[in-house]
Amino acid sequence: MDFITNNLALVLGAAIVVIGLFVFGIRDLARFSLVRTWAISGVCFDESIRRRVLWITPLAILGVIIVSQLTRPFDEQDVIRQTAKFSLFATGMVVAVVIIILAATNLPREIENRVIYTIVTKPTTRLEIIVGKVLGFARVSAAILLIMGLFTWGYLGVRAMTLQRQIRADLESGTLTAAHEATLRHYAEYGLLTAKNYAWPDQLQVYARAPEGDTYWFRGDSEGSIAIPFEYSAEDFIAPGQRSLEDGSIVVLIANLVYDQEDEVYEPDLLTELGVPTTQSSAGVGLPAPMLKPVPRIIVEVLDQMGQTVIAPQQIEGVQRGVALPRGGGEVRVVFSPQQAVQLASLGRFFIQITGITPGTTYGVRMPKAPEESPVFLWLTGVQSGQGRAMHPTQLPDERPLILFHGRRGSYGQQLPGAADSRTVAIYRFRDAHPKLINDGKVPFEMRIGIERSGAEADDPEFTRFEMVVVNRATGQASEPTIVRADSNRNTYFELPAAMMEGGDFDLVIRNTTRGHWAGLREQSVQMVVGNDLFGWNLFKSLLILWLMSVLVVIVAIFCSTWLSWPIAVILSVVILLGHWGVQQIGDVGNELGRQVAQEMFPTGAPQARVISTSVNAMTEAVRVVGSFLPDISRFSATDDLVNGVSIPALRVGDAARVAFGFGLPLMVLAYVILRNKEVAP
Amino acid sequence: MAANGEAVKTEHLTKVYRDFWGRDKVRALDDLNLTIHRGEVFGLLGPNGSGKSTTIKLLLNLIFPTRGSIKVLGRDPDDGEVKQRIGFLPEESYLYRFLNGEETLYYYGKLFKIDRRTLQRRVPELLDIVGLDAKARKRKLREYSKGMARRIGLAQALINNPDLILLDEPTTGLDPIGTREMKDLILSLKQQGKTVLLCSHLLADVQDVCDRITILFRGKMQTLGQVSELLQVRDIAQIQAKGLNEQQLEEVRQFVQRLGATQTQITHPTTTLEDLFVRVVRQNTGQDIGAGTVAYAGASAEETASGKSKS
Repeated sequence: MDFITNNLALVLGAAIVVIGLFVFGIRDLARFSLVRTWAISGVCFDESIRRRVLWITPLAILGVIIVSQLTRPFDEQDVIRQTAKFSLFATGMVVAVVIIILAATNLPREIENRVIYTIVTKPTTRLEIIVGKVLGFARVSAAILLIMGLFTWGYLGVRAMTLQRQIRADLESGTLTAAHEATLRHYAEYGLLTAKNYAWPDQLQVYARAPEGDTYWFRGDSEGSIAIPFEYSAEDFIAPGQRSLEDGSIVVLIANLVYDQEDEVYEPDLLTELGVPTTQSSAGVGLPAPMLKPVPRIIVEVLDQMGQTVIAPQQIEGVQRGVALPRGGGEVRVVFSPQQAVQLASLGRFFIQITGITPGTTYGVRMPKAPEESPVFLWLTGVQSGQGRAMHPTQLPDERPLILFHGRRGSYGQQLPGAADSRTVAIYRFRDAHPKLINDGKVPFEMRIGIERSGAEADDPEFTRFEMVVVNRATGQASEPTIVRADSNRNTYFELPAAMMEGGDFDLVIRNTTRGHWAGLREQSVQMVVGNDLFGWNLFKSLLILWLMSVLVVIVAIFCSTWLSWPIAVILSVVILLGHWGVQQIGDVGNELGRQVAQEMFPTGAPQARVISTSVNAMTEAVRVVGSFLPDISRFSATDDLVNGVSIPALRVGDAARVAFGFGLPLMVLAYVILRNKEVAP
Repeated sequence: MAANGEAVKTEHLTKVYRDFWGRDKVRALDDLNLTIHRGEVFGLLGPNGSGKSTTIKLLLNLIFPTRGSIKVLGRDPDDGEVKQRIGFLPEESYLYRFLNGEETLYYYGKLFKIDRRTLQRRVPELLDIVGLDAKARKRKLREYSKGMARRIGLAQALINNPDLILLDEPTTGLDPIGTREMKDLILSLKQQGKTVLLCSHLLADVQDVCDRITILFRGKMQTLGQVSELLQVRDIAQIQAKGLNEQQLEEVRQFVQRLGATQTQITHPTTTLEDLFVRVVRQNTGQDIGAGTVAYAGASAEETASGKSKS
């Protein structure tokens, strides 16, 4: 039963296929002839070609050439990437537009001009007509993709050859900066038409200092935080001694933290602003240093599993201005109200995020080996004293730590601040990542990060310097630091010693040493290159995914055209194809949409607002349910990988095929059932 | 084929066209009971809107009956076996305009799963029969005149050497020679034992070739019977004689009056305009008008015997 509920779309699709073919269409299925189907598809193909559909490809090619010549790429690799992007975009557009028009208009036109009379009066079954037409237009799209693919391959090949010649000339000139030279050498060695295979890190942690022992540190001044995952059902939140959540549950967060503070003197104004107790109202002249240090405080908030704030610090009693840690460190308690307990109970998985807000302070927490040992946990209070129950953190998959350490979120991801003596480190964890491309004992890596600069403080206006150290987790051995220079939003290529990566389980420790530069890191900003496929093969896979998408477009368009006039069929096809994506956009708004609409319409009238809000939310929910049955066309995105020079995994092709046929096959059977029962004589 | 030799049998066949809401709009055919025997040429007549086209569409399963039953060659009209054995020439030649004559016939041949070798022989043969020359065969159908389109339409209807042929207004758009050829072809098909259902407004054409006819009016059958019987004027006799002079003719008239005839008239019979036209054209071109038809009859018979037409 659970399987049916969880896979409703799949079950529905399978039911349509089985009932459509084996109940309604068993006779036509038994008589199905490939010869007739191929003949019908041949006529669709010939008609399209003779209507000069392919003439659109030279126009698209011309457009790609003009646009690619007008763009301003930032380096040689970018020239190739932008050209590939335009070319694939044009290919996808041409295929989608041509195919949707051809397929949606074909059947209504044949019924209208009565050509269908001479087809259905022959021994052809309506199943053969539908399959034949799908096949015919799939052949047309294959022809368009073949032409555009050959052009893309040839044009990119010519451009890459010209650029490689230029790169060699630049390298020989010897006038390049070190960072630029490293990049160009990489291009010269690996080529510009790449299809690389990468090993990706499976997690990123940002610490205030490199971990030593079992205490790990995060930054204060709102630059660092920890997040602790919890996953409990609603029943788990019913307080011991109570019958239901509505009876009231009180949840208490208990966190055991330590801290470390720098010896700094603070201006009295700042101290007052921060609420730091001082012995004098004037500047702290003459006071002993410990007295000048602010009280370390933290704030607490609750995030859902998408990382969105569900309960903000301002909403939690006593947390607004921060919760003070006991002198020398120790336990802090934060109480969630019964209403907030209900909110937590509805989330399933959520994160408690603790942010250190005090400047000049780093916060430490002991990393537990098991959930029961966690220094941060929730306590569900009971009706009577001693009836309470601990709710420990939840172990996330992929052996993620029980406490996740984050840097402050910036425009490009978690920020890694730079300073010559910076102790803050980002650690990328690689698991089972075995180096395959080893050159002189070095393994190629790539990094693409965003960098935010503070002009006044920056000591290098162009590049940001990083120190990279590889630590083998099995042996504990660490490599010598490798210096890498990176620019914002450009690929940086560097090599690291293979010796430290034996066994495939290693950490890449990154330190930003450029003052005034904040590097924005994401979990997949760094990757290890483990292989390089043929670009042509990658392009083929990309086109294959586009072709699968076009097959789905054909099926949707033909399905719509079996019961609608062609203009409506075109519109409905577009709606079906984009519906899932559209619903996803609504999904991001969630139940807020109803409240927003109600507030705009009836800012003061509460009863009317409630009706509007409920109605809008109900409609949103209905649309969301419909959307969940529509095809997810984001599964057909093959452009990004090709453009980024990443080898498209076979899994992605399979995924596209699964969506194309998983949705297409039931729809094709539905189209057949409709046509079978349709009077084709107008 | 039905054991009792019925090519088509309808019982209480009724078709009501309904609007979007399912309300009755038009009763196009009302309780039609019709039997067409194997090997006959049957004419379906009636003014516009009488239900002729609806009947044909029902027989071809293009539309579905509201009530009643249909048997074509002893089976339901949507049966694959039935479709394998029927040929249909629609009112206008609704064909793919971007294909040429040859490609059209190859395409329809493939829908019957006729193998390539058989098609290579049959396609030029059929094109000869319907009178499309080598140049016309390679032209796209969109460049065809109406007459040429009828000819290629006829060829596609015969591609499978059918047992039952439904011809909807077959002579529309044809010149007198084409009309004559069409009628000769229909008679030739009859000679081969095939059943022909002819639907036409041109009553003279129907009269020339049909064994039996029915007249429909407002969806109901009004008349059914042998053409010769239905057209017979029983109280008037006609005597034909060749080689009599005026005096002898006068003697014949007096003799007939003595027998009690109340009205006597002696005239010289006229030929039809169609016959005159065909004769004139033939004299000027030396063309043998019926040659194609004869050739088709021979080829079809041969193929039928050798069973080369595949299903």
